Amino acid sequence: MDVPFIQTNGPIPFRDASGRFLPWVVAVMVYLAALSFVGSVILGNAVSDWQKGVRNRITVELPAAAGPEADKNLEAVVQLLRAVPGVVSADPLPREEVVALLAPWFGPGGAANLPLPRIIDVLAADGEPVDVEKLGTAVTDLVPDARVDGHEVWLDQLVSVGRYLQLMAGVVVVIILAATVLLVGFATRAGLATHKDVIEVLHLIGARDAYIASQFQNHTMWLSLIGAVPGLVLAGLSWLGLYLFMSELDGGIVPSMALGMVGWVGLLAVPLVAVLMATLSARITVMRLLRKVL
Amino acid sequence: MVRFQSVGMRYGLGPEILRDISFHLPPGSFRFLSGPSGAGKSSLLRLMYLAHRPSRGLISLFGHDIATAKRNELPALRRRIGVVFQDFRLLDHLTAKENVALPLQIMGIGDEQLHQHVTELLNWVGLGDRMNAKPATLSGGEKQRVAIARAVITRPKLLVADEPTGNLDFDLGLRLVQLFVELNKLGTSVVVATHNRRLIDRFDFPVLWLADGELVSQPPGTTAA
Repeated sequence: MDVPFIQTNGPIPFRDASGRFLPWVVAVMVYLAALSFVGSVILGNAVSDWQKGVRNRITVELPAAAGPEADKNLEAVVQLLRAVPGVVSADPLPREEVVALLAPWFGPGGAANLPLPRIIDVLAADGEPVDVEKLGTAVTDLVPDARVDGHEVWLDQLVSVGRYLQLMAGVVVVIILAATVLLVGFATRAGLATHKDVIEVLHLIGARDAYIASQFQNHTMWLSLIGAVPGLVLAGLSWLGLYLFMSELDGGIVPSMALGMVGWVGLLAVPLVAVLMATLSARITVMRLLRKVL
Repeated sequence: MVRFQSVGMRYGLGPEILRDISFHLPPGSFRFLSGPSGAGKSSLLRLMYLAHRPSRGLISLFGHDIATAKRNELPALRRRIGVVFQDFRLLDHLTAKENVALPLQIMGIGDEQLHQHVTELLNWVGLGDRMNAKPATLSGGEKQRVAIARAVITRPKLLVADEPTGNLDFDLGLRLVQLFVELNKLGTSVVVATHNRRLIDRFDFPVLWLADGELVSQPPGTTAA
């Protein structure tokens, strides 16, 4: 293989402090940004899971009572619900299930001897919303003390909290990337000062600002890449650890840890965006500062 | 090709280092620039190789008015000027051949052409066997010749040398000036700043005499040794 005549890495001797600290800084920044991004995706999954879980569910609660009258009321309400357009099913919860649901508060079987309300679980069809208020009026016409719950109030609050946290995670990603840009800007500024003499020689032998800027931007790009790759790998390992831990837990409120196609693309984009922004920051800093010299 | 008219120069808000400098260098000319230390020789050369703008007066280089030239026009003008700096200003982390190749690399010349030009030139200055040496391992004379090779690699129209013989013994200095004379014969205008009267006297070229920031017609009475 032919050895190139000129083997140098470039006319600027980048062996200053920035060469040592920049990869570390970028590694930490990419790690934090990638984790924040993963957090944002998981929160998105959680919100979507919660919505899916209860969006089509309506719970009808009849006051605790026993005897044929109560059974008749229950049957009438079930019939009424099943006749409502958009309702797929309306099933009374067996008493044993209600007792089991109360077990965390009363202990196993602790609620078995208590008067318990009759619960009807209603499932509505997708895309065919049921007017909960209207349904409530119809049910209370039959059983005045009945309660119809569409879960909107607490679901809306939970979704709002989830969305807010998701937004915060996004803001954290942006702040981390902005901090990276600023740090690279300072490092580049310091590099320009360190290599002032070399840059003056380059200018005087005819180098354009863009040539000098390209030396700095290429150097920064490599240093950032050296940091970004381990940062991403560490973030991936952290996510994997969390994934394995979460999959050990029971379902319910635990959100899905899957990233999905968009999540994976976004996660891989985090280090690329960090490297791109660091590179651009170096270039813009050099071009701006060189404009001030002859 | 180079025309100075009533040029004055100062650094920042300091006193005027050069005053009312006027001269003309036609294409293919050779000039010594001499005068005592502190007379303003290096400052005058800094104006010529576009390291500084004049504070007043007119400088015309290759038909361009330097006072009004835009900043982005300067690199193209600088590529037509070769500079041999007083302190060489070689890049210490690069080898001799890499230092010499730098002006061509900046212009985007490919490796093959670089190889040919740089090898030819380093052989011409007698450093064909020192191509891969770093400046730290070169003697003063060798560094000076690398600096000359770097200055002329782009075949400049104007070569400016600031005390190129300052650190050399007389014979070596004489040989260096002869290199400049050879270049001059090939069509490059040359300006060599030196306070070495003995060296100047060995050649029959016009001299620009500087004394206390002004051009004078006769050698100043006091010259540095």
